[in-house]
Amino acid sequence: MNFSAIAAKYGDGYVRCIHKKILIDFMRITSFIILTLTISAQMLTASNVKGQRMGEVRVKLKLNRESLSDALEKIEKQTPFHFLYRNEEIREIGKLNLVETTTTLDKLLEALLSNSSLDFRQVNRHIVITKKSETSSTIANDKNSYNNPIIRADIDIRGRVIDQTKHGMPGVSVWLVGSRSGTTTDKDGNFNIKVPDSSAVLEFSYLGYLSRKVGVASGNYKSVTLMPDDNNLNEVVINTGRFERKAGTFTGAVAAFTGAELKQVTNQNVIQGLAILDPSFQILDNINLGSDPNNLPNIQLRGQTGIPENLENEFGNQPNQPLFILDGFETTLEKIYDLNINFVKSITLLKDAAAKSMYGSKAGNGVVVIETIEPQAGKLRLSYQASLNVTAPDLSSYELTNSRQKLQAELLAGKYSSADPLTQASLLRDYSINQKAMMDGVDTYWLSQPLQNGYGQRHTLMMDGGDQAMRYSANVAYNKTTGVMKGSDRTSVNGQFNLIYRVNNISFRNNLSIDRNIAKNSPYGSFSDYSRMNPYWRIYDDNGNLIPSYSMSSGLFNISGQLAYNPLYNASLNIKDGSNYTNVIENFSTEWNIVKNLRLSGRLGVSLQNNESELFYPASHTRYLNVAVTSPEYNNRGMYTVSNGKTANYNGDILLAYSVQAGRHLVYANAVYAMNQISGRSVGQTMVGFPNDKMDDITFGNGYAAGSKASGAENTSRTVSTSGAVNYSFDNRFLADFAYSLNGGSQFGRTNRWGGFWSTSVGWNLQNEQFIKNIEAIDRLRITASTGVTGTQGGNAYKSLARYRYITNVNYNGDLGMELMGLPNSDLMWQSVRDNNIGFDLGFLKAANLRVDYYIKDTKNLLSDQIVAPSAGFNSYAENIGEVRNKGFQVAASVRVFNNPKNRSNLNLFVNVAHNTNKISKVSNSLEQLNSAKDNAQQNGSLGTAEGRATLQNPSTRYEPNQSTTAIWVVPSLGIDPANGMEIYRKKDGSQTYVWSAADYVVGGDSNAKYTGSFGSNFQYKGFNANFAFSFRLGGQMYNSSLVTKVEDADFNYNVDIRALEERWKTPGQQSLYKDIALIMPTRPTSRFVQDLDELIFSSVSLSYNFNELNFMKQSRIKGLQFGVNLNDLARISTVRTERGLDYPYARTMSFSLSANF
Amino acid sequence: MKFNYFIIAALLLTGLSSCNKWLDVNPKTEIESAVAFQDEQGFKDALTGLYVKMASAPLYGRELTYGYLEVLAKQYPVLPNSSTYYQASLYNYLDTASRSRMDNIWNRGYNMIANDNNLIENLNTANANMFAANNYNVIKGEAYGLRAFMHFDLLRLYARSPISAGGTTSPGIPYSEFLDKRISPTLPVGEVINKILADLDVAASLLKTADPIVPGSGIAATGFLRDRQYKFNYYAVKALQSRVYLYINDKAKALECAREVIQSGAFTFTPNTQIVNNTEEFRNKLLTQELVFSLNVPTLQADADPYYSIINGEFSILTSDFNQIYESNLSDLRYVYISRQNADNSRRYSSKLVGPTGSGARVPVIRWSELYYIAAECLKDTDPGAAVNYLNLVRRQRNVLNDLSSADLTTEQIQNEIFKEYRKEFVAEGQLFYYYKRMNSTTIEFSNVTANDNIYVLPKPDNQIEYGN
Repeated sequence: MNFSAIAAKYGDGYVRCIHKKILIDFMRITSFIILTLTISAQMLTASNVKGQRMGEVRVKLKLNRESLSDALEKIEKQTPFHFLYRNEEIREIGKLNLVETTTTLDKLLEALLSNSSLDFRQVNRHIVITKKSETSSTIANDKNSYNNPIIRADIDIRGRVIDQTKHGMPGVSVWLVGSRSGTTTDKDGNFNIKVPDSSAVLEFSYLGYLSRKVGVASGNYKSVTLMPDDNNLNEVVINTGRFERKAGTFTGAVAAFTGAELKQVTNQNVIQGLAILDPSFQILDNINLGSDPNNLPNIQLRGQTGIPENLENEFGNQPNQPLFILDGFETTLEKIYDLNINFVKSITLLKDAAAKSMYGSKAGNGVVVIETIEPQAGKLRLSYQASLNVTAPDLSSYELTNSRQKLQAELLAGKYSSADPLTQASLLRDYSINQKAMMDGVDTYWLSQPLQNGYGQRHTLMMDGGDQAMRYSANVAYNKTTGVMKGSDRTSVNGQFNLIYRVNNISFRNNLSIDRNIAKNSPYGSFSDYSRMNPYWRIYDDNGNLIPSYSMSSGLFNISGQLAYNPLYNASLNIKDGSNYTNVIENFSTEWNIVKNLRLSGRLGVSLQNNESELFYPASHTRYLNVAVTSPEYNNRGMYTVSNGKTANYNGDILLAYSVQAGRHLVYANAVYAMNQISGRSVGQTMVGFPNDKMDDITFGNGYAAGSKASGAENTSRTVSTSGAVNYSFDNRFLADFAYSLNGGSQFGRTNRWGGFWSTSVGWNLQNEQFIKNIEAIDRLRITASTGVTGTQGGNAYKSLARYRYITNVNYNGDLGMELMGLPNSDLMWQSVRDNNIGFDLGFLKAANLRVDYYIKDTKNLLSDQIVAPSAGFNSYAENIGEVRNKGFQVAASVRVFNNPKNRSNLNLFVNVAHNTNKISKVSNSLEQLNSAKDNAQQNGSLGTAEGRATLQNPSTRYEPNQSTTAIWVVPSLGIDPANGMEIYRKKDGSQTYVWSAADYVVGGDSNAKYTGSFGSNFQYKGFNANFAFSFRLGGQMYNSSLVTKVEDADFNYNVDIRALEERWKTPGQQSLYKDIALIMPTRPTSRFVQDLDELIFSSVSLSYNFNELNFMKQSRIKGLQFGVNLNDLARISTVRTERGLDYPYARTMSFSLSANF
Repeated sequence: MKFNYFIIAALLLTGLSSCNKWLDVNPKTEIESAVAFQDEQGFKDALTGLYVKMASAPLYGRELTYGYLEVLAKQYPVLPNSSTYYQASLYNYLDTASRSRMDNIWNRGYNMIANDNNLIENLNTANANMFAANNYNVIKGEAYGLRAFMHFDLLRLYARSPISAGGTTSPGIPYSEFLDKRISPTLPVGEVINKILADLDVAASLLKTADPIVPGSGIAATGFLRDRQYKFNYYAVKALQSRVYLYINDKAKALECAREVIQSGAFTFTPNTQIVNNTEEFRNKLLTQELVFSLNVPTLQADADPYYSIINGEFSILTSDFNQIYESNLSDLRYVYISRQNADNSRRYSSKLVGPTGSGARVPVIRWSELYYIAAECLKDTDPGAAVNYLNLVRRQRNVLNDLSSADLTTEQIQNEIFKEYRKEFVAEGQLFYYYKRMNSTTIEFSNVTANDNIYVLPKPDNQIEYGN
């Protein structure tokens, strides 16, 4: 075994994550072992030789009260020699002084060791310092006498190091305490070391695991189990997606989670887990879509950076969505949403400028970095995980009337009264029909009709193995998530193959993953169609056939003669509504350790995806019920829409990393050059005329929808970035980071093609200061501050250029013409986000951790439409106008209440709180116009249609300087006048009125909570593990629009909330929260329905049991066995009673999982 | 080791330097201006785009020809209450439908100008050698001509008539010459006129030798240069100059330009045989030989037919009123062959633009006869004989056989005869309203309003007032 082979075998693993000093030491020790072996063979003949070459090497040295070890270190730096010695032996030499001297090495050493009992000699390139008296001593037989390890290490010890899953751990350092000698374990975890005597103590250490000392006398060295070190944040490695850095020297604000931590809170998907673990990562509640498995969540990190309204229409979707990086490359939210949670190794949220600046123009909304598991060396390991997921609908927010209550409410509301006697008569007939149904006991619970308990399952099979030179893994997974609406599910099949190959100082890695995903939407349609059905309506007629529709004649809203369709009828048809995709990702990377401290790596990634979606309604669908046979549209009933898309992403980057340590100075520098191309294309078409629901292929269609043609979109964008970062640390006390990223994007204006983004930060590791070191209780104390600028890209920033499109629908005398698409703005910039962050990190009593971050995040140059005088040729152009400021803090605390390693029991508690406020500092004139257009719509909107009423009933989002983007704008209300059941409003001037006016708008609340957070605990006892997590939100408001639509403005033609009957004003003098039951004018936004929203959600429980320690396992071929139960969204305590999950109900999830390793 | 560094450095440098080119991505559905103008075809297509825009319904495809402007000129004196033009016919400029039509004319007009400006900017920086033969001059001439043309009509709509007191110094419209978010300032009417004339001079000098419509030019009117009446040709430029000069009462220059078009030999009167035909689809109702400039509107019949439908079409006239316009001369070809009556003969409709038609889907924009009228108007004071002669030349073609005589007519009467001809000749062509305005007439026939700037000056869009300089 030669030196370079060892380096190749173990070195690389260390270079990335271990302190450079350790590596150097490690090399020394390895050499020392070789030397020991060599010397022990040679010793019999070797005399006390002074190597000639020692006399040839000249050294320049000056010492000022320095120890011998320091002096030797200085000499090592100047010479090719390495010193080998025992610390306690050279301690006899006190502090040395030496005027600057230049002499040969042997003379120098003679001088330095002159007054000691030490002698030295050269063996090849090593200089061994030993006690004079012992150099000539004979090989001792007395094992307890003090011996020189070099010649006396004659007890040969063999043992094995294993982890908690009983796998051999390769590459564990085994040290002989008090010496510089040691070894490492081989690929199976076996080690072999010579110790001088039975009093020797071995220390075992491995990155990320608690070090253990084992006395040789105890005999426990034969099988040493190392436990993971959960509590030592200093050893945590931050993976920024481009490179890894030790958390101890990193000044950025990040939150890092392991796959195991994620799985402790959920067994569903990564996104849900992150939302529980870190409150600054927020899934915006979608009260309409509830727990629809095919609805991608809307996510933001540290508040809204942009203005959604403006951006959604013009500049692409989801303007606040963070950037997702999977295994180093940009990916989509959908990919992360569908990612198998068992494949996740770690997740890092990059929150402040210092952490995310290398992503430059894309990082403004924060970055989520996800790494998937990589193969581990060792014999072939097999692991299998199975889970059964049960989802159950949560209808606790619904309190609808029953048949009797509904009819009573209808009577009171005047549904059966009319001024016209003829109508009155027919209404009374209707009433008697409905009443008879009620008397007959018809009380249909429509809510449950489209619902089911969803049973989903997931199977994950992972294999890995190999040796240090080549490691491989192959993973396959199947995951089916079943929603609570019948027929709605999402199925993914994933396959992954990873290969890591290492030769000398170059390594290669190849990851191939293939995903197939099929999403199906429920044929039952929208859940709201069921929640509004009247309970006195039967589903089936007397013959057991579905009733397609119900008569709706009513004295309200003049809708006599209309029909209400039975939504279940559609569900009986062959409807298709779904999408699927196939995704292939191939990533290749290579790493070359050019020299010890210089590393060059390159990566190439390709991701290809095919998307398909289809929507099919046959002619028998209720939407066509009122098309007359005589109508020309009769033959065009039925519709089939298909759309096909392809996306291709190509990524490449080159990274050069360099580190150097000089004394107490440590510099780490890297440069990245990255290129990326994303292209997408989609084509869609709609055919009509499908008379029969069995004709369920688009080719059966009668023809294209009138006036339609193939639709489609195409886009290609490219980015290039060059980033550099320098990290300097002095004595591991003072830290400074500087990063700069130069980004070029095809989406930027030609004149502004390149943009520079930067960050700078400082940190102070107080725990390494002497005055803190003395405080035993404090393990870690760190303060960091950072500032910097990143950007967010608009979806289509071609707006900066003059662009033409061909006018294809009309020609001019046979010629096609082209027209300008918009007014160019060559000054257009990306939106820039300035992050300022102050972080405070405290660890004490080896049990508690506290992390506090305070931030101010300013978004400037918001992209929005600027209205211009139309004589410019266009009504508006894209301009950088508008500013938003997000301010907040985040506190994360955890404490280990007790810990008993003996029976492996411990209890941990954690709490996370995030606070964010959002304020608009400046808006563009288009937003001002938008505000007034909305106010106008609210004031004068039509009452006739359902959409019209909905517009009037819901507060509109308005953008005013000094207000939040999530402010709720309402007219202040003084309540319901007991005299007449009408609402009294307060005007701007303080006077009272019955008349609602948009001019009286005030901010009634903010839908963004002041505080969001989570807390919980983790308890472990032997193999049993229990985890609880609660989420909460405090200090926000919500506009309870379901109170408006289902109570206050309830449409009595359909089913209503029971409060509409019980709590609305009915008689003069009655004190009531809700207006007159007979009043049918829509209630416009009023402060009456702004409610304080404080919520406590029991978001997760997980229980698991690990069978590893049980006796039967010891004989079993199964190396690890674990059973677990996860429950999500168990309960919700809220100050607001509102219907949730309008179009798709919310669900509670329970998941049983079993995992086994072989 | 050093060699390794060298390789890395070289890789990075070559990577960076080729970046800018790599970052130029041209989306498939849209073309960056700089790319579009890399060849001659781009210039042609951009020019065609201008005509497409002008031929759209908010501009000459309807409102500025047979739609809004004819309503304002009371060519359809009584509109039903249900008509979307009803409020416009009452000159109620505050009405929402009316308002949106006016705003649309302004917005679309300036949008066409913005497109034109980008074309002109690119023409001015383009390499003329890239173009075949005369194409560069033709495209550039048309581009300048169209910019002047569009501005002139917007000026005629949204600013005061120069003939009214203080008219030339009153606020006009912005004269937009660059595609930029910084908008051009609103100029006084007189200055706008000067800018229009300047652009027309450029257009005329470019087209004079390059336009195949000029007899004797020897340039083949094929390919891109075919059908010059559909394009803003040399004589369209001259005719527009004539219109502009008359608008500012510079009669000498107006006459000079009008005469050049009249005497050009490029146009002839449509032979009666092409008009007189019992089968409507064989009638040349547009008198195509006389079109100095017309726009191709492929959807014209579908758009226009409902308005002129003999069953409750909005754009109708009481038969008695129609007879009055044609001075009860019921042999006038325009009366007999280019109008029709409803079932009970109570109303008449112009059938100039509607089907069936044998003369193509196009709207007349500048008609040869207008230059005869301009010439007559310019000469009425100085040479009444010649003036009346110009009128008679047109009248005879229309089968109005009672020649006028200068001996019988005062100057005012000659002007009145010209007015009558405008009413007959330009039905559905949008020229009558401008006539009233140019004359600053206090009366509008078939209307009882007292016409003044409140009627002659359309309000500019709110956004123009709020965000304009």
